[in-house]
Formats: sequence, structure tokens, C-alpha cells
Amino acid sequence: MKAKLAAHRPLRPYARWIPLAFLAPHLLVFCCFNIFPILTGIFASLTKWTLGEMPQWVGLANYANLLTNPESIYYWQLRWGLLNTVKFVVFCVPFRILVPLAFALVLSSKCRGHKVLQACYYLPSLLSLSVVMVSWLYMFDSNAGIVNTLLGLGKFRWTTTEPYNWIALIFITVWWGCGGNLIIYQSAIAGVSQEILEATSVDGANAFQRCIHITLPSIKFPLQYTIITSVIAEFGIWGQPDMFNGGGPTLEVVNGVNHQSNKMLMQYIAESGFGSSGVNAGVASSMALILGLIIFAVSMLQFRAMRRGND
Amino acid sequence: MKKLLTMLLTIAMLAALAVPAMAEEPVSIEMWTLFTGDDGTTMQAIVDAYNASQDRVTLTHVAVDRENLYTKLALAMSDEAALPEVFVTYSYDVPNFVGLGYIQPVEDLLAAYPDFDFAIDKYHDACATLNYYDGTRYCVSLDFPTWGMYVNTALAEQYCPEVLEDNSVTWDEIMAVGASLQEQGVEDVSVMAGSWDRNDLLNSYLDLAGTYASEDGTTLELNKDAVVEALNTWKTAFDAGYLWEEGEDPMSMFALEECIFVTGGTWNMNAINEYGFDFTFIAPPQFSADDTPTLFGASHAFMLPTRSYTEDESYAVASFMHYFYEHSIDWAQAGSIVASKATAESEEYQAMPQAFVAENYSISNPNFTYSQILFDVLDGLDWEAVYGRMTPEEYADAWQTQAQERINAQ
Repeated sequence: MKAKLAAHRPLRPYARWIPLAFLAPHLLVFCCFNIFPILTGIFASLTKWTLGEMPQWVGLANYANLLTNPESIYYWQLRWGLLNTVKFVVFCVPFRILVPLAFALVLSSKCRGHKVLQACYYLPSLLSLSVVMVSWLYMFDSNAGIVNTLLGLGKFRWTTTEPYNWIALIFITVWWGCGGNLIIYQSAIAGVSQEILEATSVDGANAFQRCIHITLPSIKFPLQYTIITSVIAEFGIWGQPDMFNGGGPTLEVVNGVNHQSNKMLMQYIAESGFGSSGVNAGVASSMALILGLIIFAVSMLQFRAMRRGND
Repeated sequence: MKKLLTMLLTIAMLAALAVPAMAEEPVSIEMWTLFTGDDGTTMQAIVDAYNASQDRVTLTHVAVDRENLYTKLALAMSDEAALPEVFVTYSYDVPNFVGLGYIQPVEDLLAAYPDFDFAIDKYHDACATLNYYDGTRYCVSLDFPTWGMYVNTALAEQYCPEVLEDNSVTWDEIMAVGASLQEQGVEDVSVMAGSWDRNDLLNSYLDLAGTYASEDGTTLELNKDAVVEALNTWKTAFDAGYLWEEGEDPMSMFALEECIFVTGGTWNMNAINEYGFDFTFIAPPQFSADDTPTLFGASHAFMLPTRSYTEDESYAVASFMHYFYEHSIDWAQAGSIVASKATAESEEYQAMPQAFVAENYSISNPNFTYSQILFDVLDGLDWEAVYGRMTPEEYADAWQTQAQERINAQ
């Protein structure tokens, strides 16, 4: 009875603000470091801005230039940058999922030396990008690289030969980023019911069948999560190609713009938005916003497809 | 008596307390430079020596790579407190920085300290133009980072002793030495390696065309024929196998004595000194033996950001610039062609390889507001025309188109 009365006691006028007070610190940080930069980015995309001067309002001119003006270098940069980025995402993400998954399945068997193997697989994730790229650049070096020596490839040029530059880039990215997903899969696999696995063994299922019919469906949610985060992460690819070959060899030249094999949209954005000269933060912000919208749309599609699959 | 002693003691104590308060306040200033390599170590040593020589001034040297320096400056312009008291970048940035309002004239500051004597005639003759914009002095030069070519003396004596008789190498001579090496069946030594596409191509282009800008320095006027000719020359030598192979590191080739010549900047001299063999520094290959060889160069210069200065800060900046002038020989050890005439005339400097370059060649640095844009586009285009992935004509168009659109956006 007392509890019932307490439940119906009218709230004091300030009580409704109490949750907000608890949320305020997070909201403040969120507004400062998320909402404000997003709004600034949107505003910048509608201006002509060299950073050093006040931005000049140009409305949708940057977008019109990027999307409809083939005479502009930025039109081709957006087009080719996006094409290369999508290509990278399509070819890289499956390996970013399958390779750590395979490792996680192997490690879950608790084979001999699995702790050492786990450390080896995870170790690259702890390295900074520059360390990773410098190391692999030496290994892929055409003159004295260990890769060419081991494979007997002579002076093969990994950085400028299609499609091997892509293979090298994807290999380095997967090697570097394997650890994060590996940990997620390992912990998910550890949670798979041993009783069910044993029961299916007793019923005669082999290891492959157990993996396909029990383990993988049981870790469906972590898999979905890693697919989405990997896609988002790979859309932001920038450092690897920038340090590996600066964007790679020229494939074609259109209207005075050279289409480089591995040059990603983020590289073009960074080039336009920062640097020692010719800063065009308005165009860079427009390109960034278009990329952001594409990532958002792809993520939504993935969420939708997954929700449908879960129903 | 006791009273008198107490009074005297009190006065003495008060006086002791007052002395530190009356002493001059310490001054801290900051200097941003783009010296992040070996030259950064040398600059830091000079700064340390300067700080040690000062009673109350402390200079902090912040080395920032070129691209970040420009971004950092642009962002700091909105907050005076974030700006350094002085920064060092290329003198060709002056017109652009004046237009953007980033820098202020140095004349008032220099005039305030006549004892330091920053008279322009105390500096390399080129400073009379490079330090001025629209008749106003905007910077004080440190040195002239210049593009040239290092020669492995032993290899040159072995394979082409006649080429160096006039201390100048032409493209015809490069081709002749290349052909000769191939005839002799020498496979482990190339004639020349180009270590930086941008400066190599600019040097060749300027040798042919003289400039890339209109007379007033505001409009891009690339000579497409000269670009194509420069590229074709490099490509011909590359295709003939006289140069490096794609993927090879030119400086490593030179270090391993796999090439006779390697192009490089004066700033590479410290590193090349470490290779352990005799070398000289001359102009890159020229198209004609008749003219004075041209080297593409620029000038590092002290500039003052647009901000207010206290009297102490002004003094500290002027005092360091003066110290640097007086101690430019330390800077020259890193391979620099110094701006200080006093240093340039010293015996110690005259014995350095760059002294020969400074006296015998002309340094080309066209006056153009957007030089940096032009250079950055070249950096992006790399050696693609020499490697055959673009035609020289496409390369020339790309250079023009990309630079022009970026200029238009400014």
C-alpha cells in the first residue's frame, strides 16, 4: 500500500530535469565533438573557404560542381575516388571477416600453441599505421624486398603493377586489422553452447557441419556487427594507399586529371581540405559529406537486410 | 642604536626583496619552422646555443612538416595567442601570405634595433628581390635551399673525366656517358638518378622556359612546349636505360655507388657526407653548355605573423635573427647556401661545396603568388610521364589544369 502511495506521489517540479542533469555531461561532449563538427561540415560544404579567410557562402555550387561539371578536376576526383573506395570495400571486407573468423575457429579448437598463435594474430592490431606501412614497404620493395626474394619474383613492382598493388594493399589491411574482429569472434565462439555441440557430435555431425549449422548461426549477431563496422571503417581508407604508393599508377587521363589506380576518396578530401597550398575546404567538405551519406545509406541497407534476416 | 640597527636591517631586507622585482622579466618566444630533417637538428642546435647565450630570452623551436605548418598557420590566424612570434617558410609564400593577411612587414621591427643592422646589402644579392613585395620588406632570408646534382668523384673520374672539366653537365653529355657505359658493358653503374620528380622537372623546365608565371607574378603561364621537351628528354634517357629503374631508390643507388650522379638538394649534404666517399655538388643537367647553369632554388626566410608584439618579444625576435646571421656558418654545415654575406665571404664557407654553386650558377626562383600550388600538383603527378603512363602532352595539360583550378579556388 505504501509502495503504491509512493508511486503516485506527485513529482517535484525540478524532478523532470534530474535525468537531464545526469545526461548533461555526455550530451555536452556529444554536441561539442559530434553535432557541432557535423553542422560545421555541412556549413563549410556550402561555402568557398581557404581556412585562412572567412568562408564565402556559395550555396549548392560545390555540389553542382562535384556532381555535374566534367570540366572540373573535383568532379573526376569524386568519381574516381569513390570508385576506388567502393572497389576496396568490396574486395577487402570479405577478407576482414573471413580471415579472423577462420583464425578464431582454429583457435577455438584449443590446438597446441593456440595462445602463442592468438598473440601473433592480434599483435599487428597494436601497431601504428606508419609502422605497419613502413615495414611492409620494405618487404614489398622491388629491389631488396623479402616478398620478391621468397617468391623468386626478381624486381617485381608491387606498388605500381595492377592488380597486384590492390592485392598487396588488401593483404596489409587484413593483416593489420585482423586482431579486432578476431577477439570478437573468439569471445562469441566461446559462448556457443557446448551441450548442443556435443549433442550434434553424438548425432554424427562432423566438425564442418557443426561449424556451419551450430557455431556460425550462434555468432550471427557479432558477425553482423563486425560486417557493419568493417564496411564503415574501410570506406574511410586513406593511410594505407597514401603511404604504400601515394595513390598508385595512372590508369587514364581525362580533362587534365589523372585517374590513379589506388587513390581513395579520403585522399582527395585530405588533399583539398588541408595541405600547403590550394586549400579548398568547401569542396573537401562537400566530398566528405557525400561520402558520409553513402556510408550512412550502405549501413542502413545492411541494418535492414539483417533485421529482415533475423525476423 | 638598537632602533637604528633595526631600521637598517629592515631597509636592507626590503632592498633585497626589491632587486628581483626590478630585474628584467624573462621573455619566452616561439618559432615554427619547416625543418624536420637533418636541417631541423642543426636549427635546434643553433637555437640551443642562442638560448645559452641569453640571460632572459628563451626561444622554443617547433619543427612542423611543410603541409602541417601551412594548416597550423591558417588555423592559428583566428587566435593571436596560438601564433608564434616568428616562423620560417619559403620566401615565395610572401605574396600569398600578404594577400591572406598572414604576415606583416618586418621593417618596423628591424628599424627598432639599429645595432643589429639588418641592412639588405648585408644579405645575398637575391634577397633584394626575394625579401620584398610591393616595395615592402616582408621577410629576412636565412639561406637558399637549392636543387643541384651530387657527383661521385671516383666514378666520374673513371667513366667520364672530361664531362666535369667545365663543372657543368649537359643532357648531351648524359646521353653520351650512358651510351659509353652500355658499350663498355657496365651494368652495375647508371649515369644518373633523379631523386625528386618535382624539383628535377622544375629545374629542367626553368632551364628551358625561364618562368611559369606572368611578369607581375599573378597569373600562371606555363610553357607547354618546354614542359613536353623537358619530359621527353628525361624519358629518352630513362627509356635508354641510362637512369634508374622504376622502384629503385635514387639516394640508395648513390650511397651504394650504383650511379655517377644523383640529383638532390643542398639540404641532402649532411646525409651524403655520411656515405663515406668524395663527392662534389654541381648543377643538374643543362640543355645548353653556353648559358650559366640554372638551379631551381628558393629562400627560407623569417616572417612575422600578423599579431601584436610586446617590446620584449620584438627584441627577442630581432636578437635571434641577428644571432642567426652571425652564426650562419653553423647553418652552412648542413649544406645550406647562406644568405649572410659575412659568412659567405669567410674562408671556412668558401671551402664548402655549396660555395662553388652559389658563385658559379644562377638560382632561379620565379615570382609567382601560387608557386606552392604548382609544386604540389607536380608532386602528385610524380614521374608518370617518364614511366610512360601518361604522355608528356597529357602531363603538361594535367599540370596546367589542376594548378589552375586550385588557383581559381583561392
